[in-house]
Amino acid sequence: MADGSGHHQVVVKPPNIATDIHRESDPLVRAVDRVALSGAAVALASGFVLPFVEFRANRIVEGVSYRTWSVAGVWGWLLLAALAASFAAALLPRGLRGNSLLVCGVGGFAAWLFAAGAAATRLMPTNGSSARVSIAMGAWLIFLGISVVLFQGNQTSTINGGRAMALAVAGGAGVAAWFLGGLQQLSLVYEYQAQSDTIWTLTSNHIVLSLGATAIALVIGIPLGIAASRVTAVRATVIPVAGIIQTVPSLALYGLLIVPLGLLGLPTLGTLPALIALTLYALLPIVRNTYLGVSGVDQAVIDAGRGMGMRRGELLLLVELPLALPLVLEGIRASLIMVIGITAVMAIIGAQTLGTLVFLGWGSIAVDLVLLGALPMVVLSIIADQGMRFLQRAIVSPGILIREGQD
Amino acid sequence: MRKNWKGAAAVFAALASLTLLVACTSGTSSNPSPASAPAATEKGPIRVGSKIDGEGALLGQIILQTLKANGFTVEDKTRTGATKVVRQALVDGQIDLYPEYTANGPLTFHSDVEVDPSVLQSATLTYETAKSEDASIGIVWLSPAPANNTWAVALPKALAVSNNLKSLTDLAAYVNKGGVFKIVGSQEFFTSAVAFPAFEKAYGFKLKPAQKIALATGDTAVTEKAAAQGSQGANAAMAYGTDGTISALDLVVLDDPKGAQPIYQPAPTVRKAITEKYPELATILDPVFAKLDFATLQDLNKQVGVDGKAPKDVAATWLTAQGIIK
Amino acid sequence: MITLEHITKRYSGLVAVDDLSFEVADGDVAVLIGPSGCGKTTTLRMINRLIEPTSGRVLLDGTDTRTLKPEELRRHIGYAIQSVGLFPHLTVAENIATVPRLLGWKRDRINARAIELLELVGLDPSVYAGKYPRQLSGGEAQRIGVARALAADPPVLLMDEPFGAVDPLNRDRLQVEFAKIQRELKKTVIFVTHDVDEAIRLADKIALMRLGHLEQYDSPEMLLDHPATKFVHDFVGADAALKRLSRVQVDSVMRTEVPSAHDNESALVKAAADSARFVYLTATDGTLEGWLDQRVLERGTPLADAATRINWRETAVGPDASLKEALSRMLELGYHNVPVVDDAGRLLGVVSLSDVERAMKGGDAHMAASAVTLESGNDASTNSPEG
Repeated sequence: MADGSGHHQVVVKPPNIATDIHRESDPLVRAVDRVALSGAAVALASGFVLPFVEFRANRIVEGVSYRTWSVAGVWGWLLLAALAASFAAALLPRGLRGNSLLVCGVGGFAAWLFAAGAAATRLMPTNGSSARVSIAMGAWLIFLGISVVLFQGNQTSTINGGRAMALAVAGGAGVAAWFLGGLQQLSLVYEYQAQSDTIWTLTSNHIVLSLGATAIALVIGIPLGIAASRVTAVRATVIPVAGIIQTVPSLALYGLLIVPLGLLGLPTLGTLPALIALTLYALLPIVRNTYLGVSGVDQAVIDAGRGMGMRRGELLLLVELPLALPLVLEGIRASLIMVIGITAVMAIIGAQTLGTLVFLGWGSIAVDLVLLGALPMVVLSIIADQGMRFLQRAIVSPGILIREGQD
Repeated sequence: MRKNWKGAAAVFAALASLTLLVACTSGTSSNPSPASAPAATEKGPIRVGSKIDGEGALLGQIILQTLKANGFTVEDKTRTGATKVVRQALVDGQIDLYPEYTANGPLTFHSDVEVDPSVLQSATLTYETAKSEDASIGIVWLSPAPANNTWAVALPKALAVSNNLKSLTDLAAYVNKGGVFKIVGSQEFFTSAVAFPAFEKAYGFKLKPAQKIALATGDTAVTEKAAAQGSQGANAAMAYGTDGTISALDLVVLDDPKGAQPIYQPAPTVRKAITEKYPELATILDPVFAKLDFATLQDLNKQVGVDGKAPKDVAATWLTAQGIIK
Repeated sequence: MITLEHITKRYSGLVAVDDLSFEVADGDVAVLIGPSGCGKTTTLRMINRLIEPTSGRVLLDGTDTRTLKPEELRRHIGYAIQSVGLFPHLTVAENIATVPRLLGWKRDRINARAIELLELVGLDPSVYAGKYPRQLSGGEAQRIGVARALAADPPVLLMDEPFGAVDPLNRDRLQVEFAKIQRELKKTVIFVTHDVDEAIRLADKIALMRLGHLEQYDSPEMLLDHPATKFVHDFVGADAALKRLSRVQVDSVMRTEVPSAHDNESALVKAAADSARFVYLTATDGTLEGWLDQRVLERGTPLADAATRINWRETAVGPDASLKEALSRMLELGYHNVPVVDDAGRLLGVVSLSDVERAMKGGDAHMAASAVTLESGNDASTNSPEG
């Protein structure tokens, strides 16, 4: 910026509110990391009590369960040792705790991968039969516990670039377990290999359908929400109607769509009706939150804006929408996550989504095929959730950012 | 205020790109209408659909790969959806062909037309009825496979052996004697007159309501597994004749000596516009389906349903072994 | 010049403002006052057309405001309200920049203006420009509200209880600052308040309203001395004389020729030379440190202990304080004289009780009587500065 005016430039320092608040809820201030402690405890207990893997002679027969220590050999014991170490690390004094948790967590993760691989290698017959080794409940809980330990460790670690190192080690362990540790023997991997050419198409369809429905709902819902905040008649119709739509089960909603679609000569199956149904579902949170956000703007602020000569559009764009933004984004987040779930159901009406795998797995009693469809959906939901939170931090003014951990 | 303009711009940019993405994707996945199909020198594209279940996907892949080997460009729309979905897609022209079962013609798609029960006892008559009824709405049936994927009753091998149950005649005697029996099936299996009630009528037995467990879905893997595990006291299951899961679960299928069930033979159903444009379709697909006899189909189904192999790979392996594709 | 001509506002039969007419001269502060529901805020909002009058018209320098687009009109009229209405999502600098941005000013000019205004309202730009409203105290927010209203340098300023939401101490300071800014900027201001003291202190003209019509439109002096109706008399209250004092600034009546010295000895010499009872003691830079009272010496106190040492921040008043404040300081401390110092504590002059009395002269009978009362209490023998 050319500053020939002679006025000194004011350096505007945006106050780092988010950091300040983060510090207040910092786990560092607590004597014992209870979260990590519970995570490690659950994982440890699961390791001893619950089945680690399940062996089936083929995909659909009843399986036989094996516990960590009985099936995964030295890796199983290493895994249990890492979990015990995580438990102890959670009790350490603050200075040591974060780094220890991170190290134990990464170690546990690597041991988990190799233990699963070792179990699969041991149980799978050498000749190419239809036998399957699946990750069982205990292993999933251990995985969850390790994730908790890693999360807490990552938050409190003082190692420079600790996160990058942890990621590198975990990634390396993953690659090693894949190629050397027998991880490829797991049923989930077999299911993936059988679906490898469709799963990416299904995933991208799922993403496009979910995002597309949310985007269309956004384009329709935000103006509707604004209109609802302005006109009583709109509010009195749109919000209850959107509310009723939400209560209609997804297949019933689709059933209601068939007739109007047919009358319009539009396809009644596949992507289009799915997109319409999903858009209808996505509408309520967006419309309602836009309405609440815009109508909740302090009257004094509106009065000030009008009094300073803002036109209606300027008031909306410069004042009302920016102030409603946190709620609107929250609505979009809710819609997106909900729609990612319902998109799966749309497989029934011929929309090729991750739900297709779930139904396929369900129909053929292939638990791992169901997981193969469900896991990417979980990942998508987490990405959507985190992405929306990131967007919120990025574009909502720090002056009105909803304080995390305080509501 | 600048920050918020930026924010608004970011939101709108994201929206715009999303909308664009949707537009593009729906553009690429949208079905080219016959009018805009490429020049006749190129064959296709033919959009191949299928039912969502394992056998559906397998048959779809067999058709798809056969057509591809014969110089057609194909679009993989297999696993389109449940029967109603895939059928509707064909009627609407969203797909060009898919494999369907012959008895579904008179029983499901044209159930308003009365058929003589004797028709359903005959594979040929069932096929001819389906063919002629669908001709009026522009759908052509190619030749069916000599495999009957009809409804059947499956029992755990142990039960069958210990009670010497081999056919439905034996079962009727066993049930009428007060033998312990509880069967899992789909809602439709128990209510449709041509399904389980047809067995009861033909073989002269009648189950009490408590002897039937009705599920909302019609997945025979589910019913068969329930019977194999004896969940909720079940010791019999609704099954399809060509199911690959039966032997894997140590079940046996009871014979139907009286032919009480309609005959469900899989055959490609094709939009008439496509058969008119490519009359060679029948000569390409008929020999392939002729090879899909009961044992073959059951084995291929086992590879998909039990071994968890991809229908695509199972189809490719079989077609290669048959010398249909190289 | 703002002219209201027969302004009436009715809401479904209810008359909020009834045939109101008055004029505000350029550079004047007109205060609208009255009990709640009297129509003062409605009147204010009809000037920038936030509310459209049912009948009558408002002229700005002879132009009928109805001929202008409401938004255009408002962009050229500053607007500050009691609840401040700062935009919570914008920084202080961005809040101030609102109208300039609407008017399409260049960024450099807007930035420069924001800095200038923050300095004008006494807030350090490097500290405050980047803050968000939720990080401000009530008084700071009110200051930003005023700065924002002034941003595009509008000739006319509408203020609806702009200092209504702060505690009395802060309010007093804001009033002093506003008076100072107004002396500098000479805006034409219409100011709504329900606080009579605030009105009397700040107004050139007061419009006292009741039930939608004007009871009296006059200078504060006229309103105090010649209330047009019993309502006006009752509303301004019985202590009109004291209220008048808040109109007079200390520097307009203080005596500036004050004997002062840097040490006790020279003070003694000075006292003798000027035959003065009090000689003020200042540091070499002129900062007030205390005084020497002859009476104390006469009682036989040694010269070294005779001086009264004070902290000027507690004892003295500023030149822009009102006489009311000066009087209150005298009564509080029991002194007859209050030194007047500048921001750095340098002695500027002295205001005495008799100066206060003189300023009251010309008031009504009641006021004269109170002056006499004060006079009778002015017994030097009993009221030494150390009293």
